[in-house]
Amino acid sequence: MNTLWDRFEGVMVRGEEDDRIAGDFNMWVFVLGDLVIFGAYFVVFMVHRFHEPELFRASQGHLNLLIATLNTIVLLTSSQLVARAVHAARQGDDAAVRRLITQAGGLGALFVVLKVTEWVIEISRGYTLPSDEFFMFYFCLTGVHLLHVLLGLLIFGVVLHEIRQGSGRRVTLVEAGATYWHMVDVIWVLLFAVLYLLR
Amino acid sequence: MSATTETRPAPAAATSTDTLEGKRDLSICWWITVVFYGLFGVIFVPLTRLMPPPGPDMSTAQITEYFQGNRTGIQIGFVVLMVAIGGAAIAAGLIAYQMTLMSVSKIYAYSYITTLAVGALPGCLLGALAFLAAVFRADTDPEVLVLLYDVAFLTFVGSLGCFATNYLVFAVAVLQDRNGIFPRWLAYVAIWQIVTEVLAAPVFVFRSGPFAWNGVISFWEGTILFGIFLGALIRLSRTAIRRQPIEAVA
Amino acid sequence: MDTDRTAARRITAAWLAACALTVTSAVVATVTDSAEHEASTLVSILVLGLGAAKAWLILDEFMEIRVAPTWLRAAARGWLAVLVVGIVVLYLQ
Repeated sequence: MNTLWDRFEGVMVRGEEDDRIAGDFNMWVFVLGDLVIFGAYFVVFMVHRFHEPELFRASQGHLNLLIATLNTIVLLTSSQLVARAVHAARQGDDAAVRRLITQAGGLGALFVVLKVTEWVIEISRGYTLPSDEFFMFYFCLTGVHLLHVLLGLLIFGVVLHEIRQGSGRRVTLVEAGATYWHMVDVIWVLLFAVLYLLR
Repeated sequence: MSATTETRPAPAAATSTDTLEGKRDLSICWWITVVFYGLFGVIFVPLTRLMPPPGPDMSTAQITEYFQGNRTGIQIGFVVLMVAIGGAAIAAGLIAYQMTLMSVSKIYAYSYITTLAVGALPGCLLGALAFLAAVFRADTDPEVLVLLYDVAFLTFVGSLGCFATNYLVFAVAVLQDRNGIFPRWLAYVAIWQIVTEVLAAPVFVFRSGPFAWNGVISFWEGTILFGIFLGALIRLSRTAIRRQPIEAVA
Repeated sequence: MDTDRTAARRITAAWLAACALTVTSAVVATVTDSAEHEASTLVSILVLGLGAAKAWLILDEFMEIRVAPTWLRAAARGWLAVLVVGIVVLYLQ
């Protein structure tokens, strides 16, 4: 008897896969949870900003908008490649998948390099983690986002490895990896607006 | 008896799965785990009041008063912890044993144990000892009290490397496991834990705000998530005990 | 084959739109900024709106939320709506 409870028990307790959702149901659980966790960080940021808006605006002026804009384009482009990789995977085009994921990973690595460069610029100008409230949030939030990017590159590595091994689950794997990477992009897009552009 | 259907093929016809019969030692370990973590909660929250933590921005006078007003609770609570800390080892051992039933290398189970074993010292014992030392004499120098206070909370909240590694080891093992000992979503909850755990690193820098050891981000988000993870882990551990074949209990 | 080309075109269109929104918001924020970094409700609401639009594009077109089961569509879009509204409300305090 396939009642709603049986389905819940099957997925949540016995760990069955839910075939009706593109990619991995469990990855979506992770993504939604991570989005909520990050959403809480945004809310805490805004609450603290409310108490000292002039300080936040003044410190924000020291950020490098050019690098951040570039990074946004980089991440959007890599997401686009990953989306195309998912379609390629569904068509069974392994070569295209490998090519697209590798390119997306390359852009992800570029993001890391640009981000670290941006940090070095700020630190060399004397703005560090304990400088003021704004920079506290700036380094911590972009830092935890960077951790997500690095994890995403690891996931790409795993996906590429599995494809080379000819895994039977590769469509699901590519879709799950793609879902994660797009989440990283969504978080960044909002970080860009809230940290760099909000006046 | 519940009429759950098996989703993965049972290994051999003669073994009975989906029962706790014949697995008494595992059941006992599970109950010890439940009792230990329940005790942990009682010790750290109402008894010693280490949780939720008071702030790093308290004055010397406030800190002195905090210890003096809490002396009995601290001594009872943390002496009990000193005696009962073995429960943590058994809890770790149970989960690690279940990890040996996974299709992945046993190195994951061993790493699970060692990360928790190393983490137990800074994670709770050092804080407990610092507090016990703080209330040992009635006339300890207030400046020393402040130092012990800082040591306790910095280690309690700021010890994150071992636990982050522990969650990573657990997550990777569960994701690779073909035997389905734990459901995959638990691995993802463990990865959330890594995220919130890493954001405890700033506690060594900030004396107030969301990234202080009592902060919304560095303490609360991580601790609430830990409660969810631990509850799920303990519940799913029981399910795993039920589902495993008896002959695997060596 | 037609669906594949349409899908590819949708992805490319979404990407171009998101990039355009990115550059637009960066330019607007830069051009309207002054040495004193004054507050500007208009600019802030605009950049938040453009950011939300980009996030919506990523969710809908890249993550295929548009064709996902109802609960997932509601959860994802709901999260974005609640968060952006929350940020706007906190900004306007």
